[in-house]
Amino acid sequence: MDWRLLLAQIVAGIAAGALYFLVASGLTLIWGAFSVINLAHGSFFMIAAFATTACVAAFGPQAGLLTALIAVPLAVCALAVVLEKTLFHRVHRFGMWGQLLFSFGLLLILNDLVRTIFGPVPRSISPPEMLRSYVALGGVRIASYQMAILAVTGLVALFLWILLARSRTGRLIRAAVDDPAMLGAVGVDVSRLRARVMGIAAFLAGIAGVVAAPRGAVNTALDVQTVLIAFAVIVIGGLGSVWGALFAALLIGVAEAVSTLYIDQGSEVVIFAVMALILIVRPTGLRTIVGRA
Amino acid sequence: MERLSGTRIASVLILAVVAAALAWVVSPAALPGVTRIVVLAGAVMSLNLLIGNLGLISMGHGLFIGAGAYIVAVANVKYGVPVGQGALLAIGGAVLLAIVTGFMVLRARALFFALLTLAFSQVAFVFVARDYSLTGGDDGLVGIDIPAWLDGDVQKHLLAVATTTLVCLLILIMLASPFGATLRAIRDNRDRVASLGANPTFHEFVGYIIASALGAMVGVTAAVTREAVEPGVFSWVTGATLLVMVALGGRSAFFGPIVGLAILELTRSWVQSFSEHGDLAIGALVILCALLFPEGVAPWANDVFAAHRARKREAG
Repeated sequence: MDWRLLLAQIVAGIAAGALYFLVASGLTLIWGAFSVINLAHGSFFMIAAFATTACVAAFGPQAGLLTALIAVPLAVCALAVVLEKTLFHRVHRFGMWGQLLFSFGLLLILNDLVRTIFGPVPRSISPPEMLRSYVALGGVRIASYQMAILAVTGLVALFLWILLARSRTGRLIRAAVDDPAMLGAVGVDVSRLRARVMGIAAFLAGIAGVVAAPRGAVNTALDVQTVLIAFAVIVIGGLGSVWGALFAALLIGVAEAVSTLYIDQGSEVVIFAVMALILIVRPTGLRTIVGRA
Repeated sequence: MERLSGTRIASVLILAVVAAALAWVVSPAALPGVTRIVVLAGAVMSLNLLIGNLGLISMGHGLFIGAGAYIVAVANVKYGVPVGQGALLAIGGAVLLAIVTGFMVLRARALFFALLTLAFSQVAFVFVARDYSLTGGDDGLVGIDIPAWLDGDVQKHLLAVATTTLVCLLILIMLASPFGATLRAIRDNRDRVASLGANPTFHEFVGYIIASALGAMVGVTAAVTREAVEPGVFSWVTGATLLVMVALGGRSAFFGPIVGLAILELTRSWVQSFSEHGDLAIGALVILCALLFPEGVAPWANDVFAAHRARKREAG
């Protein structure tokens, strides 16, 4: 076994896991704090990825990606807040079944709109000039774009930690995860908080979508693919647990990347196999091991 | 406890006769499509046994439908086993599969259960789609050798109707039994049932096996009526589609899943006949239904009927 190859795969897995974490952390917060199932969460990721390809086509690889990194997550965040304020808040009180139906409908509509606007052909963009090469670290060659992904997601995770641990919004979110009914009873405007969390979640998914766009083909199957992985991450990590999700995302990312050394295709089966194994051992996810946000 | 009322049995049989009569009403070209919908009806009914009566939201019901379809197809195409014996083999295999997976998935609850079942069917999907020597890989298997009495679209349609009717009747009988009553009691209050001396996990286990066996029956029918199988049945698409049909029609009404199936499939084929934005229309329809009938269309319709009848009784 070539340990350099293995190390490179592990770094690649961590980079992929970091992206999974960005998508899943928002989903687990919405679920944990407000018991909302949002099947359309992956659509935010897909929309951001397509918008990034449009930005790159308009402004060139470097400026385009930078513009996308700033503008696209904000736009996706705005879209999520508008959807929450106009439609989504109506189904919250219906419980899981109403939300399941509603968000499934949303998933179909967003997918159809994206297909209509951007066309059915997958798009691909290349990373900016300065991030196309390799970094050699003690003999291990690591694509510099992966380092960039790690840097961006690390910053976002830090921001998320500060938000949850230090800010008033974060305290309210943690309180909502613990006991949403009580939070409403002490006079907090829960529906406003929910819109804010929806916005944050979409913002995180948007960043993931922008950063992930140069990694591979951007196609209209991304939404379902992403949301399935995100759900796998949050059940492995434990519902509502942000840092459980972080651990689970890295675990899945690394397992998937390392498995490509041994099996030639079908790495997504590894995700589900890992999920099945962990849920068989711990039917409510890892939350109790890793600790709660 | 729900009783095995004559009206229920009669409504199943009337529906079956209407569905069978479609074989002579619709054009021969459209008949295979109708047969497919009848088979799907059996699939959603067997899934709703888990969802509506046990409160177990399975997203991996495609595993058992696929297992049924594939066992009969592999046995027939690769080993020359006649379809009849193959069907028995398929149901037996599905029961075994349900016993093995049941031990693992029933430890989890709610969303965890949903995703664990999804994981199993997804793993099966990848294995079936990769193995070109036994299961035919991505292409599936074609050329199932069906007996002469089944040769013809009308005969196949009648077989599909018979299977779906059988599934409905079996579920009706089970629901009316003390066993069925215990299942619903477990769904409503698990701890209380345990405190009364019944074993909730055992009942759930048996319910899971029965639903799986019924799913396999439907899978066999799907394979035989199409004379082919493809790995798509295992994928999350099948599980999610069936789940949405159940949610749309209403899990608490007996015929709810079939109502959901009819709404989705009729809209899809109607919209697709003139536009390629089928997803857009279906998405809008599903959202509308979620806003108007969050618990499904059929329970709402039942309520309306009941209120209407009560008003009539007062007036008369």
